[in-house]
Amino acid sequence: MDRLPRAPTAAYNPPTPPDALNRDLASSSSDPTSPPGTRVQEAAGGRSSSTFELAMEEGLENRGGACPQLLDLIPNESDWMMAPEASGGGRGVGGLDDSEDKKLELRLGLPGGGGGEEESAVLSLGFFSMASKTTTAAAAAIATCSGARRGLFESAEFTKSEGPQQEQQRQQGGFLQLQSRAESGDGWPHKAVLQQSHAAPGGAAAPNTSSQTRAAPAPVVGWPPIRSFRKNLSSSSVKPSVELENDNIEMKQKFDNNKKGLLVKINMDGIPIGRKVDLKAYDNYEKLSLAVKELFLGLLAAQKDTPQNENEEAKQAFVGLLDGSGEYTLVYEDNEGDKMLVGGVPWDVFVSTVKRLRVLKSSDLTALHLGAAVSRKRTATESLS
Amino acid sequence: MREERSDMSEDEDGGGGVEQKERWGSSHGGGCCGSAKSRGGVWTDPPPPFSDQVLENVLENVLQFLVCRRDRNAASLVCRSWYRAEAQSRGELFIGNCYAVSPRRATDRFHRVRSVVLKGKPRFADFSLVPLGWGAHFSPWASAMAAAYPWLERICLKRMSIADDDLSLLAFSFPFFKDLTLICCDGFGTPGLAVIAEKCRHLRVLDLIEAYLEEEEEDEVVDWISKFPQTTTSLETLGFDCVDSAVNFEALEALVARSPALRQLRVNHHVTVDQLFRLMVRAPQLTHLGTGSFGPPAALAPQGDVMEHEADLVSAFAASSFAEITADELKPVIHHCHNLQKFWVLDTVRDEGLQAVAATCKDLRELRVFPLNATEDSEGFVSDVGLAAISEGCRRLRSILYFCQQMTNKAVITMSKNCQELVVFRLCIMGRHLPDHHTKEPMDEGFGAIVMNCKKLTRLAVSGLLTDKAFGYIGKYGKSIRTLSVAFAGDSDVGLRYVLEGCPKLQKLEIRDSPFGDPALLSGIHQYYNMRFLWMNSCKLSIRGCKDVAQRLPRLVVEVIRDRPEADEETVEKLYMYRSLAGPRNDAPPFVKIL
Repeated sequence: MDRLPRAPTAAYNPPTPPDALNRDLASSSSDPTSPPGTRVQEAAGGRSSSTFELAMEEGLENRGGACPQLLDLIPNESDWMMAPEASGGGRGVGGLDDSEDKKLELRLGLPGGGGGEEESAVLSLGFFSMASKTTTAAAAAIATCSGARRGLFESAEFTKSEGPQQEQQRQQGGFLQLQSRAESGDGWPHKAVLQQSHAAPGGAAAPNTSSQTRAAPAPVVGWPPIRSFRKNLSSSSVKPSVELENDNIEMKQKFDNNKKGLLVKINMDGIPIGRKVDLKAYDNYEKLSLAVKELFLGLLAAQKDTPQNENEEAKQAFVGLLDGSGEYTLVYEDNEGDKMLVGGVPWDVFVSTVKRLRVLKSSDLTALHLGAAVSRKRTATESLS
Repeated sequence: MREERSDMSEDEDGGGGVEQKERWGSSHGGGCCGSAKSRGGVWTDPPPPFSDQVLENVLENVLQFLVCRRDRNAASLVCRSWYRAEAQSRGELFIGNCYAVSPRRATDRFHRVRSVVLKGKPRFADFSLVPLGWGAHFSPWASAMAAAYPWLERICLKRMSIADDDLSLLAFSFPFFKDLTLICCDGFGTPGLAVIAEKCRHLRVLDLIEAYLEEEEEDEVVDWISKFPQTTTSLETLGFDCVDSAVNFEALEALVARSPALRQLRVNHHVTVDQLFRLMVRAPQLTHLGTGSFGPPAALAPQGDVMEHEADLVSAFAASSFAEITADELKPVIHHCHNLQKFWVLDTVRDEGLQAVAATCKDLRELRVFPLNATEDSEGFVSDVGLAAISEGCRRLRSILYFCQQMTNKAVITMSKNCQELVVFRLCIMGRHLPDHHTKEPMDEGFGAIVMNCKKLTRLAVSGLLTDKAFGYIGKYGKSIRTLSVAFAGDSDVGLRYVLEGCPKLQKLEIRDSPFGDPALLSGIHQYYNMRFLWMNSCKLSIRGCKDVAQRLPRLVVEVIRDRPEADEETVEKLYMYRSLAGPRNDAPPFVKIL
């Protein structure tokens, strides 16, 4: 089967898909019919350190799309400069060469900035792509790449406490984190030791982080693939961390995909099943009132046993929702638990304090203890004609 | 007799084989399908001559014995007469993708449906990969069925969004309704349950499996358990372990007492062990008893009793898949369970516990080992040792789902050789890209052995460090594979190509975080009409490639889902594509772009 260039052992060769590289080196759209094998070879020949640097810069500039090329150009067998100090900046990729020997494979570390930044930045999914806006360019470039590159994850992965597993893997060599910040004790000298031949390819994929004291691996959405229902039920020692919350349905519900939506429940007198409205979709009371009308119009008509949805009578019910003059009135419950007439405060204030909405029969209004704003500004309602 | 059969059988699994393929091919050419489409998919031919009608009636009676939907699909392709007869006699409607066909089209074709199975969102929605509000609304289907199938008895929905109103509609529209099963659905709450309980007088099954009920304030929670009819009920299965709110226990106990047919009961975590015991006493005829979670470990002692009580039963106590049982606690119980066929358990039982299972449960068919801590760096309780032990002891194993922190090729190969009956093999090595724990090699050989040796394998989920070689194996040997789940695997487009070109039966392909790009996507053009769907997220796809596919396959709905509006336009974060007779859906939210 097609193998990546310079893959002497049958074993695994970590991530360097030549195709993506070719897209970079060659020009046009990829041709799916040409056997990838040939292109692999081309890629192999074409690589050079200068190309790498060039591509890397490109990659850094086009964060989103060309990013994969950056990572693809991290060849496993390349002989990276080992001098930690020199490459401490993280960009020292000068010593790249196409050596056949499997030397220590180093990866671009972060040019600066804390590991914390890196961890949060280096993530597989776009989910954390906010980090792309950080100043750490390399990290950013890596972060925005949604393609899963193994090297990518290694940096973010399992720090854990020093498990034996990790020890073993570390000794296997393979990808290493070239980090500007030397973690405690696990500084460069330690890395030098790890330059064993790349015999065990697994090492490359192993969590070969330099740091032993690194924090928990940056999580990925939806991994491991356990349904959140089950995760939440696990009785003990489930890490109550932010990443798990992301799986929590609660968070899901709060996450509008365009922007943060603001769903509030709205109940109407006489209709057993309530609804929800997204307040972010409106920017004034009139629109809200119209929306409420749309929501309940059909149901109200059905309840009154009128034949058509667009019955005038039902429509009439919604006139004067905001000013107390119609059959129904819109009220809301704010964050302090007070029931207020809708329309009394500026829209923004309303949106920030509202917790629930109710459509009450106007005749029931006096029965409630309404909060402030009984004497309402009519500005909001004046446009309602 | 015209030959064209442009509408796809409701069987998403490509039943019908070759003919099915050709049909999709020609439909692309715009021939026969074009004309049928213009009629809105409704057959408007003149009625057949009398003699044919007689034949059809006879045929209907014969076809009634055909139960399997794939057989029915094949029968429906024989000729028009058979098509009509089959349509008239099909009792169970299975729709694997609710967007593949419009409700109207389905109800127009099949008139006497008693049972409907409907699936909505792609499976990765379970892992928060599909944004909220994506779709899979049950409402249009509810309305269509309410009008068309007054005799409807059973509805099973998976990953659909259901509103309380829909449940209300069901309750009022189907007087003979018996069976409601909701798996991983959301959007409804206790008011909906209350209506079902109250109005469906013949209810036999109310089964909520991992549903996400709407959040409700204290005062909004409806006491739905009390709404069941006060007379003897015909309830056989009641499962509500996923309902967050407490239920009225007295009402529940009374309900159990007046439900002599009750066999399966799953209560939620608000029901204490003592209460559970009381329920058991009321309903000694129970064969399945479970809870959503368990209280403190002190509760385990009585649980041991429960296990004993059911030692000769076929299914395991469901609580064990949520309770943290250690090996020592498990062993004395499992020792008796010789007939155990299905076992779901937390990995707290460790390899040792699994060894005990392997020693006793010789007839085990399905095993699921869930992780207590579903994180990548947690301490692994089970490993290759447990897997190998299971494979040695449980030779009849058909389905396995195994979460672990470390695995070896050797154990997987062993399983592939011992468990020849395997139909479902899902191994999740929780650390991404983890190689063989001992040899540090990729897990290629292990999974390769699985596809090579397990000839009946239809579902495979891979994990760990995998190169294109693994996909080569899958493509070469996985000729029966219908569902494949890939995550963080592969090196290049070649990997995906192997699969798309090599697995003719592939129906459902879901991939995440793997380096497959446009060329790979394009290499599957010949296959996509045969598949139910393809899901890819966080791979290396671009809009160009996806548009290309969309252009070349007009009957394929290509959805690009963008989570973050500020992300760059070119890259495709999430791709979901599926064949559809209904065309692009009209309820797509703004973050979904249909190409």
